[in-house]
Amino acid sequence: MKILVCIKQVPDQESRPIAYQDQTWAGYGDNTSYWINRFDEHAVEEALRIREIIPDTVIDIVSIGPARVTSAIKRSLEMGADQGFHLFMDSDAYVSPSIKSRLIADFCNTREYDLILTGVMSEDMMSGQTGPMIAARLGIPSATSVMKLEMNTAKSCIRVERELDSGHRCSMDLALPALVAVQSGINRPRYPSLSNVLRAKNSEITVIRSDASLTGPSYETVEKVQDTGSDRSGIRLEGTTTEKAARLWQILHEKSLI
Amino acid sequence: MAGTWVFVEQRDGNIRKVTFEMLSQAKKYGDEVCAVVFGKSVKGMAPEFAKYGADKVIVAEADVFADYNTGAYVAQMVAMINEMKPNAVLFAHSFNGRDFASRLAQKLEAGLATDAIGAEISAGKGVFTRAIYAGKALAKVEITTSPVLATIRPGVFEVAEGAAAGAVVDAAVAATAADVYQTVKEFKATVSARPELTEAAVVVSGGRGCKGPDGIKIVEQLADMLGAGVGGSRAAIDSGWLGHELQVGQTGKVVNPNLYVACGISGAIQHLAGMSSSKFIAAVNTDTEAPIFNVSDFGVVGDLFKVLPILMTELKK
Repeated sequence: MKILVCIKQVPDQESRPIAYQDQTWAGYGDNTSYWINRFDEHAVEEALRIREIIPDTVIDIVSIGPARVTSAIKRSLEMGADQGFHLFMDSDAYVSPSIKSRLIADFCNTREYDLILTGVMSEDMMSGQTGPMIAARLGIPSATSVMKLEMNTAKSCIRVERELDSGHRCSMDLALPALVAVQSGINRPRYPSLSNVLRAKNSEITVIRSDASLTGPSYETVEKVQDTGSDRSGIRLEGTTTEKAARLWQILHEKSLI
Repeated sequence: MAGTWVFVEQRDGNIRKVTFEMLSQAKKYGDEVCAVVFGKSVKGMAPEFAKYGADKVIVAEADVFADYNTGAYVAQMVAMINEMKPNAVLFAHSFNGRDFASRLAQKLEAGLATDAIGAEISAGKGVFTRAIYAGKALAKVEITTSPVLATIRPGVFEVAEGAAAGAVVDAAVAATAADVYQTVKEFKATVSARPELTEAAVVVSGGRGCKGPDGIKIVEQLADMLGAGVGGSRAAIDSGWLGHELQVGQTGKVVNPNLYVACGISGAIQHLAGMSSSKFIAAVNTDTEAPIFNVSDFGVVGDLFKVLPILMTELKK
């Protein structure tokens, strides 16, 4: 069984990572720290769980971006993945899902993965498009918002349970090879074990220089970026608990909110 | 090329409100507005779309469309778009909507903006506003492909009635069983009498501060008195106090009610991404430093086990 997990490195969400010039994106600030997209950790974890059931499984990790991206790939190796591939792009600029999916589909072409896993979306751009687009480019089945994944005994297909709106779930079978975008509630990602941390230290990450001619058109451009900030008053009501609760009720009532 | 298409979000004949929101918004573009509906037997819904401004209702009826499946829906939509060439196609930003639109965008080699909270379309160009960085920033994304594709966040656009012809047009069925690559085994539903989170006018949510099912019960009691939807932060979901489908946040439900009441929720960035666009936010938390207060209009620093019962007593008066 060959599994590929697509991961993204994202800027630390607790800081204010974007630098602006006249409302245009001027890259990330110098003090920005980066981590593996938390939602992709669920995809790595799911791959590790499959390997626990099917021991001859190989888990590859792929990520696109500048040199710093290696730390996110390393983190996946520390969790227990086998090999890392870095599709190197020497830029902090916005790369559209269309371009990313083209690069990863091209990477997959000769490698014959049985299963490709991605997270539900990235914490930074939040578009959720790249996974299904990779599958569409490869012409393989896909499913998104997956809360449960089970391999059949013949390893020829998987059963997935998708989360749908209004409290609905739908379970379905996909023939392999297939791509699955996992929903964040599917599992709890493990912390790296000491032995895997040591192993990851010595493992090489294969760097592949992305051929710019392969990237093609973007189809979308980010025109402006602006801080939302918060325009809320954030007022903490004063008084005893009873007074505060009564005052809150009064405010909600006056504003016809209840 | 002509027309703005709105793909109808429905299940078993129940049309989701976001469909009407999209139709009302599409009307503003001045272009012909078409509701596009796929299903087994869906023609009867057409008058509903006409009420909200659909000049045309394009219907694709076949057994293969009975339930959403990515392969057949994409194959059908690609054929229809290539034949009728709309300027833009809008989808609901639901689990199915984004699944559908993402694969479709690749097939058409068209640009797609997901989870748009602003959408201006004119002369074959779409400019969409999207939240990025868990809502810390907004990006304006420009799309000039034909067609322009977007998924629209529910609850953002106003519903406006405006009767239109709603002439029903049958689309040739292009998808076949061979396009289906997801074999559906089972549907499960968690039935709730409470309003759908993304459509509720009031949402009351509980977090870690609820300390357990008993605290959640108080949150639910308040919600029921207000006719509100019930949601939870990740802490409440992961602890099993509430079902996963009730998670409010970046990867869960993104809600925009008139009133959001956060009870015992500290306000991690992933949670804020799911509720900070609510029109009015009230928070109850014992920790005066909790980040939730920074995005709230009014906050009560206090114990929800004391504050909520007082609110309920006031409500009963």
